[in-house]
Amino acid sequence: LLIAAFGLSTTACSPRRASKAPASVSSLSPEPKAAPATKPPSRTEIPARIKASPETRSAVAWLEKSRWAHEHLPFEGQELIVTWADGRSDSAMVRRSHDGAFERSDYVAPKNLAGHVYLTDQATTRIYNPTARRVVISPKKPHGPMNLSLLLRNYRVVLEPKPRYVADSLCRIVDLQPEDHGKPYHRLWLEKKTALILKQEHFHSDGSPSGLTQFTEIRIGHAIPASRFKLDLPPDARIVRNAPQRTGAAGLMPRTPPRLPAGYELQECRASPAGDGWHCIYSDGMDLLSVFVLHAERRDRLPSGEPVRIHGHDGILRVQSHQLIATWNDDKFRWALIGNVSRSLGLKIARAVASD
Amino acid sequence: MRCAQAQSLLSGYLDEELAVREMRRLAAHLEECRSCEAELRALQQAKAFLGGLEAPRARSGFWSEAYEQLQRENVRPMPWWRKLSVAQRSAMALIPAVVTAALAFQLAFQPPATNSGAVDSMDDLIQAHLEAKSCQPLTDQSHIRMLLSAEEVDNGISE
Repeated sequence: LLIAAFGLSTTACSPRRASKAPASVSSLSPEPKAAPATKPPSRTEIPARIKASPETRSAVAWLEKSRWAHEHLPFEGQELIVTWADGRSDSAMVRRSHDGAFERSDYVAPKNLAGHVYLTDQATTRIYNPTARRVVISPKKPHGPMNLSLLLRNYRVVLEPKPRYVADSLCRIVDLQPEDHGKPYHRLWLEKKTALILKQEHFHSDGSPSGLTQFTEIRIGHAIPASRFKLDLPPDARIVRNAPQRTGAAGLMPRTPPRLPAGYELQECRASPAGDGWHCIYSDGMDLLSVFVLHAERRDRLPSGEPVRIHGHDGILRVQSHQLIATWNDDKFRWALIGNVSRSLGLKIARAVASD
Repeated sequence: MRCAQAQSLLSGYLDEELAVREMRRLAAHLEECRSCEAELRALQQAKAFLGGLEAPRARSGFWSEAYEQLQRENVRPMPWWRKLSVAQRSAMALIPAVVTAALAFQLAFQPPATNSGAVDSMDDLIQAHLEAKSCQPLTDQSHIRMLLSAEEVDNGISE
């Protein structure tokens, strides 16, 4: 069973293992800017089995344009974020500036988040907490290319015929409807001239909303001064650096299936957060599933949740932070599956992982 | 759906109190009606700002006054602990403090948490999953959602 050696991936988006780093100063500047690319968006090959209507082709073209615009067009604006979970909603208002790979978000409200700053460049992510007077710097893995072919295999991409207004800008709406039951549904509002995403709505598989982001005002295409992407810190601010994920062999890991039900495909495996196993990431082109394979230390007792049988092993299901979690022990490892899927689909996927 | 009806449902829409069918009808209306959509935006902004306000604190003496009022309105036999002497009651009152201190001491001086000690916590795995999601194209707002639900990771070394 143990056939795949660890080390498929050497970096992580925001890993947590710590190491010493050079002392910093009271202001943090981002990595130097790369020259802006002027290459137009590439053309995605639509899988042959999909009967691509002109509307689908048009929607795909909008998504390609959107991805390109997001990487290359500067914009500034105020954005509202609403999440729904456990029968209640949380909201935040954020002032966002974006210029290619550089992004800064200043939280305006609510009070407990006001003053927080999220600043990212091509290489790092910095989160400043004004209450703790602390900035956490983590390495960042840049976005991979959008896998539209995978997305098209798993979602019906529909372009709404009528444009709508968001933040006083006309937008085209692209619906991403999953082919499989039990997966979330997404709706994107793309600004009509540039294809920037001005609004996103995300729904659970039962139709209930899970989140919304929406610009309430936006300026597109204006130059943003470089100082905006510099983080000025108070003299007593504490700087915490999270070093790149540990690399190299960490023993043998059990084989994980390259494909899972509902169109998820294995993208990469990296070290688990505590370094006690592996974190395998699956994608369907839009959403991610995580499969954690952890060493024996975690195998003694299962967390609380709904008891289930997963391929002959005792396991549990629970929902936490919008995510369905299935976890079980086999003879050697603790397994955990995490993703935004329905109970039945989560159980089906967990059983597919366990039986492989 | 008419505007008046839509606007009466906006608050429920934000709080996810509407039935799924009602939610969809309202969403369809909001897409076509700029005034209701603007109303929703205003409501969302107000909600975001109101969410940041602190709950008012009770003035000093509120609880003792409330307790006395309850006593007056609902006279009951004296509870057993009221029959104790002041010294006995003081000793009794110290018990929770001693227990709390003992627990705090145990938490503070126990060895660093191991995975076996944190079997019920999936937080680190969920955080790692959400971090991976934040790198995905088209869902690049996830980092903001992470901030809403969890404080940033601080396992590194301070400088």
